[in-house]
Amino acid sequence: MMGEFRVHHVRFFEWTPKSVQCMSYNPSLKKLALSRGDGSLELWNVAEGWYQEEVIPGMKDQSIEDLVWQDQRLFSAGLDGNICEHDLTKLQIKVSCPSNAGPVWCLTSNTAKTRLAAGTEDGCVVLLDTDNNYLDYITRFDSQDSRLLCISWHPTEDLIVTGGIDNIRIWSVSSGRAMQRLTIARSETKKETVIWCVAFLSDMTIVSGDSRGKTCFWNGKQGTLIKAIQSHKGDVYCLSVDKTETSIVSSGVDSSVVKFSYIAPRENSDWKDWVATFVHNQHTHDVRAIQMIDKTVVTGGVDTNLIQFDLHAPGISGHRRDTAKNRWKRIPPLIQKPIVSVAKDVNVILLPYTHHLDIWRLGFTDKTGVDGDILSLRSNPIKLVSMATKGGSPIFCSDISQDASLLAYSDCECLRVYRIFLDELTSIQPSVSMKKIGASADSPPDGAHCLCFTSDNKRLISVTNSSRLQISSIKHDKISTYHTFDQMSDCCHLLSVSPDDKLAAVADHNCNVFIYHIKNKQHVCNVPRQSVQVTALSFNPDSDLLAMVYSNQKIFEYDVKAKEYSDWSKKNSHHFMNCWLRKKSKVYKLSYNPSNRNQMILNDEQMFCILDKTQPFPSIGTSWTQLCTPKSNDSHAFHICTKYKYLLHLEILPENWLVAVERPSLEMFSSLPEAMKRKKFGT
Amino acid sequence: MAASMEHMDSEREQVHFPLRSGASIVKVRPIFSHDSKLLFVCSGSVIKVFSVQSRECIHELRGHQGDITGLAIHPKNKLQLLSCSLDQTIIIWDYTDGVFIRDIHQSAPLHGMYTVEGKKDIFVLIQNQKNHKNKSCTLCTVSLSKSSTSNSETVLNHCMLDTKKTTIGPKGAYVASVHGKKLVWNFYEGEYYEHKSYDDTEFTCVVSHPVENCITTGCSDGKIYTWYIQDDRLISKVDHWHAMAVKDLCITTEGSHLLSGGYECTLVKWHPYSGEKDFLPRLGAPINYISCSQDNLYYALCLDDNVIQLVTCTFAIQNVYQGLTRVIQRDTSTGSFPAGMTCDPRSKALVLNGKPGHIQFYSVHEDKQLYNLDIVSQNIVSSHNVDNPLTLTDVVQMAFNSNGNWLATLEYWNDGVMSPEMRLKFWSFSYKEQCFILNTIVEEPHNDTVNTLKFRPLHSQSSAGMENMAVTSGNDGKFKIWNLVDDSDIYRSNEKWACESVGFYRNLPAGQTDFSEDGSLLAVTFDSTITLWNPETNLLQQTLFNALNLDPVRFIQFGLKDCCHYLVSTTDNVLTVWNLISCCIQWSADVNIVCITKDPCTDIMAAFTQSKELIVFKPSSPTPVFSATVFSANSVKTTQVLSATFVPHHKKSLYEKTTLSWQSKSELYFINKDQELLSVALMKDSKSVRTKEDVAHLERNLPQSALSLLISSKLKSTQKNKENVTLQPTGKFTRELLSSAAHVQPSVISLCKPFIQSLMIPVNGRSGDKTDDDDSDEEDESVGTLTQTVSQDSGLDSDMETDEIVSQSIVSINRHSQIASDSEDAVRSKPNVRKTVESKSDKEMKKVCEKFEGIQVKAVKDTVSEQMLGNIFASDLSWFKS
Repeated sequence: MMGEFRVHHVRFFEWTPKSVQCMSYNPSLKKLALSRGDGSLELWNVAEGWYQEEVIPGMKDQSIEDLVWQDQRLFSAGLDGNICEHDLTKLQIKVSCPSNAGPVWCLTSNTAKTRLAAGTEDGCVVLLDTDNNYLDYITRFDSQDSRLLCISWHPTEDLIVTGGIDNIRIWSVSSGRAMQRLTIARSETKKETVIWCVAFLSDMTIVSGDSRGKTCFWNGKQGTLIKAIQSHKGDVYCLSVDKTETSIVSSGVDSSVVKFSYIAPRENSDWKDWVATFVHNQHTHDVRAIQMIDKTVVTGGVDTNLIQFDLHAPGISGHRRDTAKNRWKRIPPLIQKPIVSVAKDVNVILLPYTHHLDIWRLGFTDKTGVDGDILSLRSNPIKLVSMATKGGSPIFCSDISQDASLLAYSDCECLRVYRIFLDELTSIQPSVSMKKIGASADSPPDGAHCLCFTSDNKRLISVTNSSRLQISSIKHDKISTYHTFDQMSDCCHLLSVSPDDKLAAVADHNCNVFIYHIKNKQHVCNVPRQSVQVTALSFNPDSDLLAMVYSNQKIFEYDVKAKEYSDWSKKNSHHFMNCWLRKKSKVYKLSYNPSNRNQMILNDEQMFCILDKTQPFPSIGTSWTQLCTPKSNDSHAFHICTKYKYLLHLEILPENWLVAVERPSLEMFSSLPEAMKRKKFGT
Repeated sequence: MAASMEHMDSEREQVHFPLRSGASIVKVRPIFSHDSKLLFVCSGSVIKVFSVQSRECIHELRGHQGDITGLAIHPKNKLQLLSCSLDQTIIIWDYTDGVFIRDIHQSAPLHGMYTVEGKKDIFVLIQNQKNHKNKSCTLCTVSLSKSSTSNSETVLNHCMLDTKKTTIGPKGAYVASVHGKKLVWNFYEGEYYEHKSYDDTEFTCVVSHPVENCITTGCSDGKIYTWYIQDDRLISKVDHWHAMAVKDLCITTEGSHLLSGGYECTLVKWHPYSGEKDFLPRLGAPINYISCSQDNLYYALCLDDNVIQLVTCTFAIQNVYQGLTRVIQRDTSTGSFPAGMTCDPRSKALVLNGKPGHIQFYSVHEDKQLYNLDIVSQNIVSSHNVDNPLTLTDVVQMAFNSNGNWLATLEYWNDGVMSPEMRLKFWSFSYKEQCFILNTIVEEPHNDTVNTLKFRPLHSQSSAGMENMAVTSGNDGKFKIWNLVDDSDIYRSNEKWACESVGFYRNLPAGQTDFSEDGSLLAVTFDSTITLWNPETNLLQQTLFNALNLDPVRFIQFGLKDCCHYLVSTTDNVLTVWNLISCCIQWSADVNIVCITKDPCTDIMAAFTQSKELIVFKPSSPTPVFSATVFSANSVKTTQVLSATFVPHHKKSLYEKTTLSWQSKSELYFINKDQELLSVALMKDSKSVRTKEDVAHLERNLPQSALSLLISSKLKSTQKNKENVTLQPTGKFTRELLSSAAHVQPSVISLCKPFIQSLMIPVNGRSGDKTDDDDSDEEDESVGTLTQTVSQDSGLDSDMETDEIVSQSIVSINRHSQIASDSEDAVRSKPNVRKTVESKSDKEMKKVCEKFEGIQVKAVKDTVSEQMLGNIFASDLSWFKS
């Protein structure tokens, strides 16, 4: 009905997700910063249903052990011994300050958000001043014998608690000396107990998680143990306290999430007690980071997924219908941006990794078959080029031109363009050569966050790291800045250029969409601002309509000439099905079918959808299963294919060819280390 | 027959079918006394007070008319016990003296009771009268004070009947109840909370913490939730170990531990803070109730197979109170008791299937299980799924020979997938070890299902020449005769069972078999034909065939005693009695018999019809001796009778000269599909078999303290000395002799002999001499039976002489009866008969004594001989009375 496609099913993109290392939530921005095992940093917008706003790829050998927000500022500390502040516009490190005490394991902030305290390998607490946009070293406390793995600042600011090997210490900030030393028992005499996480509550209760699997509650005034709960079977890596300090969640190696509630079990008694409640066990591997976000708990770990669980305790009266299944959701680690690019004219695909780029020629066949057939190839896919980046700096963005003659990528600093010479592309052994296109000395292009070649291969449109739209021209094997537009926003993340090379659209995190005229070097107009940001946008083949998908899953079409929403959009924007709007994964790529201009193709990591503008929308109450299994008699606009899991890219080529880059889940997670063995009943 | 039934209508009103013994002791949660020395257990409408230390039953508190549903210690007086029952009353007992204090009447059946210590009001579950179909309860408070007129106040509506599903909070702060998937929590100030379970699983039980404001619920998926109330929210904590439903929970007295039990046959003790668990596995049956004593030292576990295990807090088993073992999971196709019920001739115990692969010996007189005999010797693997139990090897046939020295069992396993397994086992009773020892195993005795397994009766007179013999018949069309053969070799002397002959008839499946009383005839049914064989020669003697009724024969039974020339056979709807002398039908009746049994002591038979009617008849006459429809004491309906047997009386019969005079020798017990062991009794004497003296006797034997032990040991030693001097048996006889009035006493001649005999000391010594001489034992047994036979024979007809044609052994009986009739006075003749026997046995005894000189004489059978004398005396008396 929607036409048959022959699909290049690309499975050789060996993109692997990395484990979650730590998380920090900013309640005012409603953003979660998280770091992964390769030192990369991600910013997630929690308010808009877990939209991944930015990914800052990590430098080689960089690690981020702890993250701390201070209002809009994000600080990180790592094993390189530095405490860094991140520039969230340029996506770079803004300031870096050495700890002077070896690798930093943990970082915390005071409640006034003027100071940072870091726990180091050398066993001392380092204080830093962050007031007035600085990041300055202040002092360090007395050194202790062993490393400090976790740190927490008391809300009254005078006390800091640290956890290390076999003991917990309470420090006086004013004197820099340890006030208390709480010794932790060992489960085996020769095996030291590691305190992995600690939290200081305002009533002087200290909560600690250790390598014995126990969550301990201490009286910080007396230095005595209140209660030790054997909550886990393995090490307790992380814990998080909610705002009211009446519930605490913890997790660790055994991947189960346990909640502790502070309750009064006896009536008419002041005595209160912590009671452990099992929450869930959805992770397959160690949980490294846990975060309470309002009434939900978010966990991440070695299995790279994030799991959000609704802790909302059921009310006493009135029953809650939703079962445990509806209370949690898994957020896969996939990048919510199109990173792969395809040279449509010559069937060449560019696969960017963090530190290198691969160019492949797709396979070719002239056979046809019925639906579901695997067609035998006349020529196999071949890797043409594998190119490492200069100096080991990570790739932010990349693009390949339509005829595969130009390649551009950008790291955080600069943009590099190469000319590719491909001979006998259809032969068994095509000959490939590359030549760098140097930047002109007087006007070199800036480092970019988004890149796009124009169809005539003469220009390169980019969003620079200062969030300005820049046009660079490629002439005589030199690239030079042609025009840089004024900065209209400081957080642009999406770019689309119209097929006739006249218009460019840029979307930012503040929900704006700017439309520029490239030829006239003019800002044309803004799309009416909505409350949520755009996750994908594209011009139609006639270059007069701009289609956008928002993070609330709604699709709008904007008529650039008339400067209003298109008729289709006006007609249908209120008729989206509830199940479509409830969809959890975000549409990260939107394009028009080049052979049928009435068809839009949308895809997220779980499915792709062909939206036929000529068909009516299905009724609002249509269920997802009904949507996915259409009946022949009632045809509607949405045609959904859920064949692929972890779909990284989808693009329609001419002559009804389709490129689908899928990452099989088995391969993606096969590189994960072995998890703690869990007994499963009945096996 | 109809006329006779009308005739008996007036008397039938007095007859009822009580649960005499073997009632379930696990239906109600047992409780401990405040000092943890006593355990109160409900058995039907009786409360049994057991000693925790000695396992003995100290008191039986009788007074309820219906089943007891709840027990509690009086909240204000720790020395009083409360019980509630379906008969709408609450009774207050003084359990130390075993005395009824007073009762409180309610308007509807009570299903449970809860108390709060120190509060005068108790909580009871009162059945809602309105809807009978969907039974539910209301939780009400009832005042225990004498003055109040028991006006109850409703606390919670729509409670479940099950006492496990409602709980009272500490100090009565709240009431919580579970109802399917709902948890209802009610504080008195009008706060009323309702909560639905998380995973759509049903709640099975609820308990409240004794001090904290939290409750714990068990779920049908094995999870245990602990709920705390915190600011209008319920905070729950999950513990999950059980794979199947949690059946009961118990929190120890101070709330330090949680005990849980379920279908896994494992008790789990949860340590709430450390998260550690202790297990008591392999309990044998699912745990139905858990109780904890006040001092936290003992836990009482009610297991589904009618066992209460008393374990200490360290999981050492302290005591086991074993009732009649209930069958928990068995294929419905074979019924709950595939091997039926029999009576062990030696111990007079009821023998029936117990645990899977076991047979149990249950003493109905003492109402306790004697022992379990493991027949299959296989591990019992519990299934993962309650609805889909594993097929276990089970005993499907069993038989004792007439003196109880041999037991034959047949075990069968068929899961419908693999080829079936069956094993025939012969067990011999070892007097030395006082247990059955496996003698012979026969694998696959038949190629198809085995229908019967029977021993040939060893008749007292002709036993000398007759070998032990057993018969099996199977659907493979064969019946096999098994003989005891010598299996001695140079190392040992042994005997074993071997198949001697195989019989078949027209390629039809062999159905039921039975030996005639003297063992000279074997009847085997082949479809609708009854064939009579000579078991010695395996020759077909006669075929009996009812041309009018071509249904397959379901049961056959030879008559006993003076009906020994009759053969009773039943088909689906006809009961036929054959006269073996004429080989024709004596009489027949149109009844559908589902179960038939004969009294080994008399000539009567009892049969149960499809319509649950009990018919007691003599094969000689179509007029039933007794007939009544079986009804249960509690419920209106009773289920199908599965099996029945006569158990000889232990003591003097209560049924002389009543409607139930047919039970004068032995009592009929039968079991129905609900696994209730019922008996037939008169309404008026609903008193127990166990008299007060027995109970007092037991009580006296209880160890009270170290001092009492010391004193008792001294007392015992002095008593022993006395015994040696006063000669207890003589004392008893003379006591009985002197206690009765002179005018009712039998003639001096008949008393003279037993009196002199009672003075003879060697009688006891001889009968006690049971080292390993089987012959002497048989002799001893025959003395008992012969005396009985003779007293029976006093009523024989003289035309018995015709029986000579039929069998040898009958003739031998008749010879005795001729003696009896010759002398015209049976009583007078009896001493003569006994004299011959006595002299014979005395001679034997002397021989034995010479043989085993120096072997210590054990007084094992003292009571037997004493009883025997009592029997003689009683029969003499009865004769005189009549």
